[in-house]
This record gives sequence, structure tokens and C-alpha cells, in this order.
Amino acid sequence: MVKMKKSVTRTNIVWQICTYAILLLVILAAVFPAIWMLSTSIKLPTEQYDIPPQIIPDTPTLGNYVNVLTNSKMFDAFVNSIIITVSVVVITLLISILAGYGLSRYKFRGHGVLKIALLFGQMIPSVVIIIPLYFLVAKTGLLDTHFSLILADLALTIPMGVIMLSSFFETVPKELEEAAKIDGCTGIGALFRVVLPIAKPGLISVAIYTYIHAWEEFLFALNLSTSTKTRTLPIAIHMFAGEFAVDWGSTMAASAIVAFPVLLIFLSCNRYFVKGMADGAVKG
Amino acid sequence: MLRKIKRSGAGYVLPAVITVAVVMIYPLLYTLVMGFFNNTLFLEAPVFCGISQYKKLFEDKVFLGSITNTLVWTFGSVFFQFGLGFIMALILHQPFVKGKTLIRILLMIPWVTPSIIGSAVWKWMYNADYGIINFIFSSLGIIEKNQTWLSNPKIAMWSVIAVNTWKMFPFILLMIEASLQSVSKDLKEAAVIDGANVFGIFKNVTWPSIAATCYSTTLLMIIWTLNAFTFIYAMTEGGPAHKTEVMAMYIYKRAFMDYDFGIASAASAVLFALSMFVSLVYLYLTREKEGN
Repeated sequence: MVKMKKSVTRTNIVWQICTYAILLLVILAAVFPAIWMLSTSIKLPTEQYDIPPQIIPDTPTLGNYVNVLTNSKMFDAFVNSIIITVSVVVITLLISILAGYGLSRYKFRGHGVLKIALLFGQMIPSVVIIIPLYFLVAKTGLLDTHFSLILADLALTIPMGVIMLSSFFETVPKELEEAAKIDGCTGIGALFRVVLPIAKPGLISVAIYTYIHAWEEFLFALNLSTSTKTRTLPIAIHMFAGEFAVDWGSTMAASAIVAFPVLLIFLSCNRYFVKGMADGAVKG
Repeated sequence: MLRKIKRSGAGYVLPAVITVAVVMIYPLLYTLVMGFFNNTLFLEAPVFCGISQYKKLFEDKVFLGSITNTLVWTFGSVFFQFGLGFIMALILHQPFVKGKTLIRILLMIPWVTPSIIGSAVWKWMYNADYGIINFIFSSLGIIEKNQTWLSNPKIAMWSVIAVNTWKMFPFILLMIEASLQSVSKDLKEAAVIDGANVFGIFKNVTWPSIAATCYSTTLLMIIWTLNAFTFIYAMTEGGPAHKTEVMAMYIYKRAFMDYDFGIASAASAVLFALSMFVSLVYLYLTREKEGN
């Protein structure tokens, strides 16, 4: 008996070491591109092509970052991305709060149809709607405006936002609002004063999800933005990489600047994010 | 009338309905109708042409190739994403593993990195002359000479699939790991007392409680990958020799490079039908799950 126990613990230790080794390897593979991006971004052009390559260069430089940040096109793109992303997050939250609440509290005609339409909405390929959207925007003279980009992004963010929030609101007990209504609150008043404070984690996860999507949206911006006036960061990066085909240092510095805000928000709010995705995406 | 709408709660969903109608329903219907019209930049107005666009489409070798490419791209990506995500979820779920939160955060980094950034970094890593991947693989003796990962027709698709796997496996890992936490501990203990081995426990206790999540995550991945555009556009633009030209890329090229909106709309309808088929299976399966 004692002998058996011993052999079990031994295989356990071997297995534990294997487990950590596999985890380490996969984590390395997952994180390495980010490390390599940062590493290249602080290298002088002469060091980028060194064989064997080094992770930390001999003479680290911030020159690539200066190069990117003083490029006026990149700066404009940064501003455009912020304007569009913030607007999309705010509008998505407002519309999804109302619709999510309506769906979770009331039964009206077309209730079921709307729910299914939203689910399907998540699954419509963006490339299928970009052609008509382009015509619509061009005909109404909205091509190359922030408004058209914001509108297009809503197609991606609203279905998910409504679905996530309506399932979240269903977990908030109705009795609380009823009490508030007896105390003289209107329906909307009860929603904003009673329900929303409780649903804060849900709101945060919708906001983060929307933020990440709007920040990296590529296809719509590629077609609906035709000049630097509305060009967003992903498009600017793509063009930047083309312009300086050989300057990988600056391209990587620009990439790091775009990736940084997303990673920062993700790291500070990952609790909400992970839970929200698990609730919204799969349970539907 | 107004009061009736107010009482029914329909007013709450009105803004969402209007937005969805303008940015989704209208474009979708427009695309489906335009598939039956000749519509290029050189025509003043679209001309009705029946199903001739579809005929042309299915005689186009590049389009037929793009269907094959889409299937390879989608099933190749999802196979590796799911395989890696699933195995890593089981490994990470083991009770003795310490620092789970940190591990989860690190593994999620690829997923939150914007696709266009992922493309730029991988393009640099795949670089034929100075790329780190050629360096690592040749130092390990896996390859003899430097490979052109993105411009060799034989491997370009698999190079992009590798990037897509890198980006998406964390999502599957997270979903499966979350559902593993709902597996009943009592049942597991009972099975251990009954003398079940690791595989027996997995088959009879673990799998039944995570199966629904596995199915629905896989279908969601299939739909997302069918529609994915950024990686291919940014890394290969459908090349070399149309080898990575998936349907989304084909549609984009016909519409915004050739300005043949009619044929692009017809191709969109085919892609849409494909995604809807998968979506219906997805809805059917998630409904089943709710019923339980």
C-alpha cells in the first residue's frame, strides 16, 4: 500500500512538471509576438537585421516611437480612432441598455423575432453588408465622415450588446424596480437609478467588448474612409507598413502604440471581460 | 396608439430596431436583390439579368477555388483552434496548477491584440530573409533553408491559419475552462470511489457537462472564421496565385478592385447562405441546451 502511494506521487510530480512545461511553452508562443514587436520597436535599423537576433538590443532607442508620433498622419489617425471608438461605445451602451431592458422586462409583438434577428445579426459576414452600406453612405453624401464609420460599427456591436445586457438584466430581481415605481419613479427612472447600478459588471463588459471591436475594426474603415480626415489607426498602420516597407522598427513601434490601449484596458478589467464573454457569446 | 406602444415596452427597443434595420437588414436585402442585377461602375443604373450572374460565378474557376480555400481556411483554423484550446483547457484546469489567473491573462493576449497588429507582427516574423521564424526553425534543424512562408503557394494558407489559431485558441480555452468549472465534483468523487480511471471519468462525467459548450463554441468559431477578412487581406491579399483567396476576399476584390458589384453581390449571397446554414445549426443546438 505504502509502495503504491509512493509511485503515485512520483508520477504525479513528473506529470506536474510536464504540465508546467507545456503551459510555459504555450504561454511563450502566445506572448512571443508581443515581445518581438516591442523588441523590434526599440532597435536601430542596423540592429533589426542582426543574425542571430537579440531580444534586447545593445543600444535601445526610442527613435522609432518619435518617428511615428511626429508623423502627422499617424497622429490624426489616433485622434480619429478615439473619436469613433468613444462614440461607438457610448451609443452602443445607450441603445443596448434600453433594448436589453425592454427585451428582459416586456413581452411585445415581435419579441421573439427581434431576439432571433439579433442572434443572426452577429453572424452576418461584414463583407456581405459593406457593398450596400458603401452605396448608402455615398448616396447620402456621408462618405468619409466620422458619422458613417460610427454607424457601420454599430452593426457589429449592437447585436452582441443587446444580447449580453438582456441576459444580464434578467438576473436583476424585478421586485427592486417595483418598489422604486411605488415610490414614484418612472419606468426609465427605475432603470437608471435602480437597475443600472446593479448591472454595472454587465455594462463594463459590454463597454470593453465594444471598445475592442471598434478600435480594431478594419473592413468598414478601409472602404468608408477615403482620406486622412477620417482614417483610423488600423488603416493608417496598414498604409504605414506599406509606405516604409523596410522600416520594421517604425512599423512595430506604431503597432505597439495601437495595441497598448487595448492591452491596458484588458489587463485592468479582465475580470469583467472574461465573465461577460462567457455569458454573452455562448449562452446567447 | 403611443400609449399602447409605451405600455408594451416596444419603445425601449425602438432605437435598436431602427439601427439594426438601417445597418443590417437593409444592406442584407439589397445584397440579395443585387445578385440578380448587372451592376458595374460603368453602368448608369443596375440592369436586371436573372440568374446569369450566378451562372457566371459558378463557371469562374477563381470563385470555385475560393470556395475550396474557404473550406480549408475555416476547417483548418477551427480544427487547430479547438484542438489546442481544448487540450490547454484540460491542462490548465488541473487542481494543482498555481497562478491560474495570471496564466489566463497571459494566454488571452493574442486574442485582445487587434488583428491588424497581429498581421503586421507575424508578417515581420515570417519575413523570408530576416524573420525570426526562419532563424528559430533553422537553428532547431526543422528547416534546411529559409522559407518564404507567405509567398510559397504550398504553405501560405497554413501560415495564415497558424496566425488565426494563435489569435483564437485562447477564446476556446476560456470557454471550455469556464464550463469545466461547472462539472460536479461529487460525481467525480463518486466515480473515483467506484474505481473509474481518468478516461472513464472524462467520458462519463466531464464530457456530458461540457459537450454543449464545445459544440456551440466550435460553431461560433466556424461562423467567425468564414467571415474573417483582416488576416488574409493584411498578410497575403489572397495570393500567391489565389491560393489564400477565401470567399470574403473574393467578394472584396470583385467589388472594390474590379467595381463589379453585381457579381460581388451574388458571391455575397452564396457566402451568406453558407453562414446562415451554420448559424441555424448553432441556434438549434443552443436552443436544445436551454431546454435542458
